[in-house]
Amino acid sequence: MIIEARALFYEYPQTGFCLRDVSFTIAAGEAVALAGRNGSGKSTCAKLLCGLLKQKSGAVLFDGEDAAQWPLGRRGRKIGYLFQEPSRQLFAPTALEDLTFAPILNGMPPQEAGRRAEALLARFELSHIAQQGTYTLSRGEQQRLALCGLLMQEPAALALDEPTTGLDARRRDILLETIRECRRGGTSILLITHDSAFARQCAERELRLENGVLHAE
Amino acid sequence: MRNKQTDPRVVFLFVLLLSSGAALTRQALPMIPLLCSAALAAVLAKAPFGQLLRRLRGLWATILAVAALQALLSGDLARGLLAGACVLERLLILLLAGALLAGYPGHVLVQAMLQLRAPYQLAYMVSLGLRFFPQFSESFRDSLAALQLRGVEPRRLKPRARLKLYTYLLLPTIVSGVNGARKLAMAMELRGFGAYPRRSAYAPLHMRRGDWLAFAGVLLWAAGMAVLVIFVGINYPIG
Repeated sequence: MIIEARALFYEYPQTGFCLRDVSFTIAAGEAVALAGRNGSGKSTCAKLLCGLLKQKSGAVLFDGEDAAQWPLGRRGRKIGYLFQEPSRQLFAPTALEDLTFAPILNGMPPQEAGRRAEALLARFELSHIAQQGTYTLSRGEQQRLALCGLLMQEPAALALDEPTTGLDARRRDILLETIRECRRGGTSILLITHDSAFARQCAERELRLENGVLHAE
Repeated sequence: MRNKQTDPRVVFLFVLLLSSGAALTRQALPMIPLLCSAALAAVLAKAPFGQLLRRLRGLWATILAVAALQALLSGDLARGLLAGACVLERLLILLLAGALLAGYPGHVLVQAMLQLRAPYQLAYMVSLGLRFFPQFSESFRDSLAALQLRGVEPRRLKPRARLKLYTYLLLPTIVSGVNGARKLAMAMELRGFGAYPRRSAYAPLHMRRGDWLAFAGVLLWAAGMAVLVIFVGINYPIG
């Protein structure tokens, strides 16, 4: 899927911070790193792509189709967003249930959802916490579980906001391999990170935001 | 330094009398002068009532449903409608009272409570509690959005599945609220909160001439309003 941000403009009413005229394209299977200082507008940009914020002007297009009128659920099936604070996207009492409830609500047979969830938990070395409470997990575990939740719906794109926070070197490598595997399957990736080494390993292109303006592509 | 706003202690007194009046009055007609007074005070104080209404826009359906339920449950339709109106009036008065206080910064309200001899731990807890409401609603909104980003469209679900979906929202909202409160409590204790039985104030409040006049005005208003509400309630017992 091709994602296109076209002349996005957004202004926070409380602070007056603006994201101005941001345009870029991410091709199918491509990974793009979005870099910049704290408060430069990286997360805002990702939230605009995912529909968590509504741009004041400009457009977000998925395969050339303007997503402005799409409900959030429809956009969520196209692009998964990993929050900086993963606890906000964990909902169910146990890790396994957290992975399965959304696909089941969307009509997936429970057995298939369970099978897929267990495979993802195994890939991210989380099988031992399958029946554990989601809020008793460490930050790194929550981060990986939230990512599993996104991968359950096999989105065509992923926006990952600081995905390496709280991960040790081994888990970081697993994440890197997962991203590469997703890309091989055609998933586009928008990676927001301060970890420039990880960005270089993951993405072939880097966009830099400074004070809400995209400087180089 | 405080600007030309009325001393918050006077506003506290007004809000206390106003909300007590609204809670004690049981009829729709006598409630009208109270509502008018609250609206007039909100306009004079340039209270952020519109902002408060916008923030509560998600609750209006519930408020109207409560009023409608009152109207239906009372048997007699006319009496029921007046009972519903009474509920709405009371809620509006309480909202306007809240808006009057919302115009003051938190630290000024805490200072006012302290000078009214409230224990400072209690004053701080109240101010922090009030600050938690917007955080709580923000957390709920974020979680709902995150839930939808899992590819779930609540409108497309059957009522039972939708109910199940909303139960999932409670967990992150409550957990983030409790975690936030715990972190805040720890941070405050690490900065010495509650270490001493008394505390000094950086900017104590002083009643000025205008504040004393407002104070006298509030007392006169309360006396007049009590007479008016009782008179209207006895002579025009509607609702």
